[in-house]
Amino acid sequence: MSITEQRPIISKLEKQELFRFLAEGRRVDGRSLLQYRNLSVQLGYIEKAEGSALVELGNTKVLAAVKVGVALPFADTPNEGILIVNAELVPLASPVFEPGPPSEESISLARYVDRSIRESKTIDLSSLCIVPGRSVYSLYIDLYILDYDGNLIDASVIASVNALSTTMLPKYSLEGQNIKKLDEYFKLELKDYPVSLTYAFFGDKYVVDPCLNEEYASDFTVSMTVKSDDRFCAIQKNGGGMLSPRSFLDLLEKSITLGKELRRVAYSQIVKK
Amino acid sequence: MSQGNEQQRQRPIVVPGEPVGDSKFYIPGMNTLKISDRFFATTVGIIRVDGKRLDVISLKSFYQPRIGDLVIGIVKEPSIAGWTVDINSPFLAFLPLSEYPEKRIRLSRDNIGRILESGAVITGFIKDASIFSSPVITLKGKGLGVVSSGTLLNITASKVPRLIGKKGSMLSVIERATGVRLTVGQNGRIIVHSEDSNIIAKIRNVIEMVERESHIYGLTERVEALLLGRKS
Repeated sequence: MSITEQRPIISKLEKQELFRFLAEGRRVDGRSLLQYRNLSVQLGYIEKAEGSALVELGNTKVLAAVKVGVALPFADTPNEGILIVNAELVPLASPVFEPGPPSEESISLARYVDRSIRESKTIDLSSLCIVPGRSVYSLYIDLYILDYDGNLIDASVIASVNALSTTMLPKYSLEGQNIKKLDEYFKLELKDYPVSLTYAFFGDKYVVDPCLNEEYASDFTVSMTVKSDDRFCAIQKNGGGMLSPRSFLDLLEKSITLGKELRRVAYSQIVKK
Repeated sequence: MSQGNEQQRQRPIVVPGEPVGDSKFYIPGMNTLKISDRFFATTVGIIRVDGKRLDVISLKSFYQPRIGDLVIGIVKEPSIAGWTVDINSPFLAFLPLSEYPEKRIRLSRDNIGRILESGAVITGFIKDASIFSSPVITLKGKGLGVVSSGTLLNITASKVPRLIGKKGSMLSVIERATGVRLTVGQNGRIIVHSEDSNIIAKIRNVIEMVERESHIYGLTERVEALLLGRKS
């Protein structure tokens, strides 16, 4: 049975400082309450992977890589390709990450990124079918957390979508009962550009894109993924505490506005103008 | 550093495996490995020569506890007959009840989790540090105890001597220019005895500068210039 890991303890002095700043409508690192940290994206970071991207959100660093294979489709979706997301919280990223089997946090992160991509229909999985019921493309998105300074979810969604945008799939031809790999490739087409926005709550106040100390000191965090048409495709609350209906509606509104701005920065290299 | 003058003023940075000295002239010190007559760096850092002893001071490091060090710890949780304390080191330290000052504590009656809560900040001395057991902290001593106000900042542990300076020169420059008192723990934690956000921002800039530029000569002058708003 899994045990939910406790958040590391933040010192009382740091907590007091954080609340002092929040009361003045500011943040310790100088940002406003609804301001993201600097975001940078490097596409095609790993040559050996079919698609990859390195994303830096402040001091948080996430590397996403896509590997492509051919597999037997699932019985209930014989005409659809397979998408699997896996997150590795490597110990070099933070003292709180330990080697060993996947932690609850890494599974939760991978599931959220999977949901954001799958439910936003970023990839048309039916276009990844080679022979119905027999052979489909399988896409494995591996997320490596290289530096952890809070807000892994937003950085991971941005890294995954950017990595998918660079993915090249090999072409296959049907020869009798078998398929044969050709020496030709085609680009994976993206249908949407979802962005996730994470908020940390401190009583009735909240901030977007929390850094590590803010994440640890907060009551809980809420992540929301918005599609290009301003519809929501994934929402998750991490941690205890109560989110009031008014705050929830407020977050939905803020996410649409902030999501537009974040999408423009995060996907500036891949979205055709 | 791209400027020629600046380059001349830098202490050279060595990388692991790089030859740093010869046993004819030096005694190998911290972060060095002796192979036959030569010694090599085992970490990324700068060379410091103290008499005949040659050390490589690593650019980033965690704190290794040594007896007598002043450290700033964060109480993690109460345990049997004491508290475990995070001292920014690979090892968790232990604060026994017997080293908690002033108050006589009875385990049968008192809830020690209330006497020192998780997250409380303490300043103490390392009383015992060995490879066989957790480092032991004591709060008995002048100026030691629980810190209830102020601001906690961090610096990499290997840069603490640079922040303090020779005979405390850098520290006194900072204290004089800002008018606030600082407590610097050897474990890379600093308590600024002020909650003024402008002063804290200034001190944060100083710490960033020390971390970034400690291998370049004339750091104290540059810090003074930064604090007084002069051009260095």
